[in-house]
Amino acid sequence: MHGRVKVRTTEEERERKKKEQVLKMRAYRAAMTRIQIKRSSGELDDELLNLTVQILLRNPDVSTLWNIRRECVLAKTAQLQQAMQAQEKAPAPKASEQTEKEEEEKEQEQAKEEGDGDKKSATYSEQLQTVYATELDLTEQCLMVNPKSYNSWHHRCWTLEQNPEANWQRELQLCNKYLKFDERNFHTWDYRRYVSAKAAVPAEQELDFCTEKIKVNFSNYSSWHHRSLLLPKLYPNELKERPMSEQKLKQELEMVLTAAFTDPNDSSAWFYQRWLLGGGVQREESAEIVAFRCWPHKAELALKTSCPEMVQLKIHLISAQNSLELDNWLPMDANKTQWECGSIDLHANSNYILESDGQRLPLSVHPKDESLYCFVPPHSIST
Amino acid sequence: MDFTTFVKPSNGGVTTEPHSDTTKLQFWKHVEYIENHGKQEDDYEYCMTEFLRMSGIFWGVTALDIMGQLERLDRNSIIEFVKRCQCPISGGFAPCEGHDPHLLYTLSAVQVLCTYEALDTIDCDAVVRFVVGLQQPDGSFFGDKWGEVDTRFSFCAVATLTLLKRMEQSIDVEKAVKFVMSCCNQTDGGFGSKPGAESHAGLIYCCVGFLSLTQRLHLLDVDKLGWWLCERQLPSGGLNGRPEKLPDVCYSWWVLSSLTIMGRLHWISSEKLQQFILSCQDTETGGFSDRTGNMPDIFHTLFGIGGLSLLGHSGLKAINPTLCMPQYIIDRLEIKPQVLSQ
Amino acid sequence: MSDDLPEEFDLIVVGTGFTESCIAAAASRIGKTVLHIDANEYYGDAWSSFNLEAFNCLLEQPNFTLRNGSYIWHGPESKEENEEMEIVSWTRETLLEKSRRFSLDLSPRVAYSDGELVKLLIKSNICRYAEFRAVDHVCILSNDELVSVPCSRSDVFNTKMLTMVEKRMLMKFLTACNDYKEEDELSFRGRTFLEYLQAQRVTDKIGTCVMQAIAMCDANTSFEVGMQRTNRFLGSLGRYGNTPFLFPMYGSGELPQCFCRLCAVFGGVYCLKRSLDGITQAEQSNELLVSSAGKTLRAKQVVCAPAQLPASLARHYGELKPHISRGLFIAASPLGNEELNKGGGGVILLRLLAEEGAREACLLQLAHYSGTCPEGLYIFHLTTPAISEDPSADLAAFTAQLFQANAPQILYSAYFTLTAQTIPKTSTAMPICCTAAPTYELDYDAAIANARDIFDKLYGEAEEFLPRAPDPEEIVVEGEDPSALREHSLPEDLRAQLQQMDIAE
Repeated sequence: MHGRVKVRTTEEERERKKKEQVLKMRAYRAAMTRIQIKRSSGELDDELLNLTVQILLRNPDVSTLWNIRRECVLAKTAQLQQAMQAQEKAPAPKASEQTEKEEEEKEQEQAKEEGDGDKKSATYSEQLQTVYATELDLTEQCLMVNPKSYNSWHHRCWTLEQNPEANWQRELQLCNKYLKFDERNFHTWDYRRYVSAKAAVPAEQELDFCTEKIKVNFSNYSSWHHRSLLLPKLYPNELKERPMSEQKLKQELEMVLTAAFTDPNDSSAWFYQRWLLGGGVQREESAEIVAFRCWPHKAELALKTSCPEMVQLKIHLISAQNSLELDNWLPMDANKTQWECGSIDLHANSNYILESDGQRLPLSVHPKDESLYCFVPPHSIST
Repeated sequence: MDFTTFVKPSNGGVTTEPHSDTTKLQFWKHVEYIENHGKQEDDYEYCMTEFLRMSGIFWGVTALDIMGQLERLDRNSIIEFVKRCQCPISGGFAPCEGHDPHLLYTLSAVQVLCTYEALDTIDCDAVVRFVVGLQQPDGSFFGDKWGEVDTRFSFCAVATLTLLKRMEQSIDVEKAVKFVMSCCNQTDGGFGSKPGAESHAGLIYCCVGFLSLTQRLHLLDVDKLGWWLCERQLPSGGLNGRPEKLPDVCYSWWVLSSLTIMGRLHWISSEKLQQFILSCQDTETGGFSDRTGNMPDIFHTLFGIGGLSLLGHSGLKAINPTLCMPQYIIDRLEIKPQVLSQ
Repeated sequence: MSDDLPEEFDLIVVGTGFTESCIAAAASRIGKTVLHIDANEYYGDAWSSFNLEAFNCLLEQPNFTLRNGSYIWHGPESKEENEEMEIVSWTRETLLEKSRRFSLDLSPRVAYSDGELVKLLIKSNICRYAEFRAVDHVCILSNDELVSVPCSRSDVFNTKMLTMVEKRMLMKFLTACNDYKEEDELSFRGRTFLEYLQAQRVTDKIGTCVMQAIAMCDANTSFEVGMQRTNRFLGSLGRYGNTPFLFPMYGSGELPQCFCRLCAVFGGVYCLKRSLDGITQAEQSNELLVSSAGKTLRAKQVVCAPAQLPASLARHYGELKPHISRGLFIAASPLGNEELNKGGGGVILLRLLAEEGAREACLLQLAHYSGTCPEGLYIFHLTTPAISEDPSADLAAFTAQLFQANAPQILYSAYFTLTAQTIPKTSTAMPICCTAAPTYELDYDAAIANARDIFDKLYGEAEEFLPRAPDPEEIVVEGEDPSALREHSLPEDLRAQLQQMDIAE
């Protein structure tokens, strides 16, 4: 009653696989050759598009093929847009537009053949949308193959940017779906930020989404990160001394402590907690100089707090005749509170004062080596 | 088991007893592996990776050079290949013939030519034009004319220009720095691929490398970022690229080189990392895989050997942490990427 | 049984309950010819499920398996009778109208996600016939209220039932259990699990969760058994859904049929409404002569469910005694609060204790998502080891705990007793194997062990019990080159392209 059956051995399977790969390679090379011939002769048509699909579905990282698709899309859309403009401007075609008219007719006819005979063929704008939809479908399929394909994600963004009628809500749903498969795919999170900005999703809604994700798995560092971007916007701290308002901060601390108590080995919560308890975001208070000393060829200074970026701090030595900007500061310690500037040319005997972002400090001549210096004792800082 | 269980996964620890062969570097096996890599034109995998061939060549050339075996590859045919890949119109390099130029492969091409002292064989002005043309008003860089923006490309741009010694006069460095710093995350001091993107070891390497090349390492919050980076080391000794992820030899390189540039190499256990990297060797075929027991590839082979070189493994030439090239070449070019002291 | 069927079998299995079906499938899978019969007109025997009408009929007509059946309608009879009370929309009439939408189990069970049943289903590839719903909540009764026990890291993180310190305590305790190896903790050998728990200085709330829901212990359970059960619970977490348990969609009665299906695929022959009338040893051979429906069949081996033994043989296996007391309720509102029954509710499991832990019962609450009842209704299955011939009295202590404080809107209640023979071991008097009746357990471990045991006895341990059935694409028909590339295994577009290329060349 049953045919005698057996299960294939691994050796046989390996041999079979090899044969299959030889065939696949042949197909790949043939398709690539054909693609290059068509591209160089400017045949940016459906056949070319279909040839790229065969390869991209197996290997979505071949960026050149995406470039070719973009060239095809641009050619197609330009054609359609021209046709649309022509239709608007003049119902009767002029002689000069003859070739375009032919193209258009050909396409219309094609559409007619495909569709029901009675039905009117797809309008130009519908055709345009079909062009975009094809690209979106392909990227979606490719992302199934490789959800971390930079090229597929970028092509999707590019396609949507081309289309003034892009459906951003649909993209948001797609993010939800992909984040269910892999809650840590940073491509999806990046895409989500891009899409939710485009769709003008309220930050509150995004925060709720984050909360849900953290409830499912609090080891989701991606979600904590996303959260850290939303909270300072939603609950700003007036004094900027903390990343968010005191009240919200308390709630967040409670949440992150719960995570830490549930599983102290989970590092996500600890990084988040450090951020909560750290200083405010982008604190732009100007660095205050507490000590300065300057020799004819170099200068050193010490700041009250560390300054990550000395470029923003404009430091001048000013005398009655002269104003000299000191730049190209290099840090002298890891905390970046002490800096040195090695390229100045100064006549130390002049009567200089030091100016920096509104701070004006008179300089004295050091008795020992005649360098110029100033020192601000701790109690006198900030008035 | 997954993350919904009570107990977390083992963090990808090395489960099998370390085989005696994986406790020491299988030097000659790797040399053979890399040497043979380019000779497999009928191999399916090789064929399917032609879209990144230029980088593949860079990985192989650099790994062999670090091992002192560069002469095993045919210098002339490689230079000829690279030359053929320069796009006559844009000046950028394609990964191989028939493909389009891209910043990623332009850097690889320039790196290979630097190794062979053959920059004079190509049109360097065209390369500079290509790179400069990709900078955007906000300081960021496109990867090619199709508009993808990523901090990887910022690194590729300044690395290419540094190797060509044409950085200062060509691009707006200040704006480029500003863009990279806008990708710095307040939560952990790390960097993502674009503003707001989650910190990721690979992109941290790109940004730290970028700041090293532009002499702006003081912009980093070294302690905060160093902490995040050294937390990437797992019980197996390997490093992951983000929290709660598996270790990987290439992340080991990215984290390790970033820590080296920041003068914080001593914040991780070198000994355990070395053990992990060695455990990812394929003792049969040669080459390194992403993690213990997987199939080796040329990409992870360079980062395995590069990692061991940073850790001071004997028999390997020193590697420059910023440019991922042998230090002697960087010295020969008289380039001095910034490195912080401990 | 049509006359053209063979009269000789390697194995005749009588009764289509879970255990018998397992054995039939396993024998058929290794190439034995199997005849599988059942005296009932339905599959599953004491493991079956019924629609509401059929269930009532069953309760009215006791058989060997089921006795002491009774049922009561609590709601109004019909709409007319109920005109003034608008809130109640369910009546006896409307329930019976939807009779076919019910799947009422005689022996409802859950399965540990990493338990014997799931392993067996996966290993044997029978899982393709079965469908499960992850149990939504495992509960305890705390101050008469149903409270969900945190079952995962995220549950512990989210629960409001525990304080932050308790969360740490519970996680620490469970992690320690998970890491436990036999050489550890020698000091608790021979002591109880409760003592171990107390030594960990957990709070009462955590103690209750662990004892009642996770380790499923009583005060006398040994340390080793408690540890084993805890780890069984933990090992089944994080596989499917939020709890360690699965419930078979459309009721536990589906499972025996999955095994029957596999048996049939490998050539097993099925006949319902066919009883075993007598059995004798054939002269001059080891074969058995089985008489059924006026025919005599020859079999090398016979396996029989205890309740389906012919009267002449039953005495060898002892008397059928009350074994399990069951209660079954249909209600228009669920037990537990809104949170527990989000979105209409799913499957809730609750272990109940009475008489200071000396007796226990199991409650399974099923909402319509389990496929066992119409939307808006809930089934409560109560199961406890029988201590008398009165199932409702046996369960009184548990129904009191459940229904007094919660007061769900019960529309229908039924009680019955499941029986088992007093000598469960195979008698030596006859050369046939008798399976064990369903025992009081959450999962199917004992039933599977019983089936495996009998299988080993029949065919020796060298034969594998339910090896994996190959998928269709893995099979090569003999004579074919097994390493040949088969065109149809290539993706369609690639095949098309290659064909085009061949034409072009």
